[in-house]
Amino acid sequence: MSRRRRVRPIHEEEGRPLLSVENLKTYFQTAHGVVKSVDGVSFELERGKTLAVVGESGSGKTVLARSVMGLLPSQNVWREGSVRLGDVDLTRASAAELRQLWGAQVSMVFQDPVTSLNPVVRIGRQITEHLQYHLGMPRGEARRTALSLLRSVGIPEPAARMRWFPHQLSGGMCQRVVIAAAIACGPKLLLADEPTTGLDVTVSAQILDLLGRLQEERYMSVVLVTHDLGVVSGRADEVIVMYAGQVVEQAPTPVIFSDMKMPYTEALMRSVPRLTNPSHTRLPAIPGTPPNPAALPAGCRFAARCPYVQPRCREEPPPLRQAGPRHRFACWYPVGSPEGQQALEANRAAGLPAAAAVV
Amino acid sequence: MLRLFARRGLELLVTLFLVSLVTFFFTSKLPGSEAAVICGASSRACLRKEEAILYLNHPFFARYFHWLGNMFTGSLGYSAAPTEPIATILKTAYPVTLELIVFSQVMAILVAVPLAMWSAVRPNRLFDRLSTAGTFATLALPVFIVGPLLRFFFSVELPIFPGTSASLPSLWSNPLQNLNVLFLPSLTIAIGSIAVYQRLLRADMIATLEQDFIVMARAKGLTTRRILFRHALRPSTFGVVTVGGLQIGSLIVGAIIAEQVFGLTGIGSDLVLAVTKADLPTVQVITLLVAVVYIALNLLIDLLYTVIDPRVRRARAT
Repeated sequence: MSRRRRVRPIHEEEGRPLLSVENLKTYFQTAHGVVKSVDGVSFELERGKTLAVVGESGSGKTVLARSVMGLLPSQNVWREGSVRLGDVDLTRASAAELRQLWGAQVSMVFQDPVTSLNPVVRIGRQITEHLQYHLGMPRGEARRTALSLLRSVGIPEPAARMRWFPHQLSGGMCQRVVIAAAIACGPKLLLADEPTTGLDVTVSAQILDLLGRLQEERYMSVVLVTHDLGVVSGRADEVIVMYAGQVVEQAPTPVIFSDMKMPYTEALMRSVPRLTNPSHTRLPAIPGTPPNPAALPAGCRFAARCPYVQPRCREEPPPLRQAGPRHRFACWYPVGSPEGQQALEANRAAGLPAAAAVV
Repeated sequence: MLRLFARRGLELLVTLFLVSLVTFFFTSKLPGSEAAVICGASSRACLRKEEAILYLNHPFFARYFHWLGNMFTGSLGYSAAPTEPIATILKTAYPVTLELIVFSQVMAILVAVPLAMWSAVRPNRLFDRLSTAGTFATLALPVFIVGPLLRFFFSVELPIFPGTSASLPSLWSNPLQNLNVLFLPSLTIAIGSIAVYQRLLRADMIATLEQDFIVMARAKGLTTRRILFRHALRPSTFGVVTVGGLQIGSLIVGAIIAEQVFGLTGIGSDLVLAVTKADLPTVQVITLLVAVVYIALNLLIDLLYTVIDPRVRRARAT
């Protein structure tokens, strides 16, 4: 069998990040109007680093991950901006080029491991098929590679499991198989879209540890999409906080925990349970719901739920401002600043419910 | 698997018993007697003799079990007029009907599967609209209309295929001639099935293509063709397989009509002939045979599920 490789090579440029996303917009045409799921997102990610994308459900983080990859529906989608992976612009790549990048240079791990595996295809086949396709491996070699992949993601008795079907495995095991399939061809970039949502806490921690270990071993860049700030610390180098399709704050992980500027980040942080809290502490939720993505407000999109909100916030959208070397945020009355403190106290005095909830 | 086999086999026996009882009951209630058909207007002595041979002067259940015993031992009896072993009649008739049905289903699948797949890849686009409308139109055409029309256009107006065939060589001795004769009758039956398969597979395939595992297959960079055939086709076939089993009944009806229209000697035309001649023994045997085939094929389809869907395999095994 010919060893034809079907992989689009990527050349990394000296001194430039592996992935750079610039002003990426992804809109969906729906019956209710245009939904701006991703609305002008920019970020960079270096080889071997992890970027966490954090936000509530509906903040656009899943669409962001799919849009970066280009894995969008074929109809009623509008995408603008650029996604550069090394020297390739993914937004300009043809369908044939994308096929040689997907699975080979950039991979994705999905939210629900049980439904992302084909129920009628054996596990081994789901890992070997793209090894054979992209790397032109003969069957036997692909099998041996799949076997060692399954071993490296921690599947016991991999030789027997190769012949199993997905329904015979637990959710955590399925996610390990999905991860093995995702990393099989040695991608440079791995997009993990809430990889632990459906799993219980201990399994979830194991999966995240596994991802971290594989990333180090294989020197991959990882975009970790999650709604849980708790999983971010210690696992991500940098954090992007998304709200209603936009980046509202971006900072290195330690900075976001110690010096957050955006009231939304603060609110997310408060809703993470802490070991130092006395037991039975009420966990504050963020009041209200994200704005309707088909009818976004004129000013700051978080204004309606923000404890710091001032008249200006409702009229003028705050731009992303630089707060430190790698720290950006979008807020007129940032947390910890004198203006912010003043705004919060004024709102508390006026009896604004969102402000009253902040202790 | 073994337990499934055993349970299904038992069900099959019970169903067959009931079918045979009902068949025998109704045919025995029909006016006229087999003896009278055989003897015609001849003597009373002949009638008495035939009644004894045919067990006719016994009560219903005695006659039934006598008949059933004969069926089991393979002595299918004799047709009423002319008196001929039913087994001989069936031996020449069943290959024709069997081939007709198999050939028609192969045709229907060869047409319906590509149509359905391409429609499902781009639903509601031009191709989908055309093929769905086209197959829908064929649903409105009954076999007894399609058959004569096809025969008129493709063997009378344009003599491409033979219209009636006195000599139908067997598939093994002269396959070309055989398929040539059977093409139009098979197409007649196939046209009814195409719409059913196309619509079912299209709908199931559209649903499958929205599944997460298809997104994952795309994310692996596989080609569209590979995704369709390797990942989407098999999980989309449950509906088609189920309906394929249920369709066997209407296929047999279709075969009866197609055989009549194209002058073929198959099970269908033999049944029609037997009914018109009040040849009760033949009617009974053919009805029973059709029931056996129907039940056996549905058993086969149940087993086919376990091949298509590994989840069924395990659920049944435990």
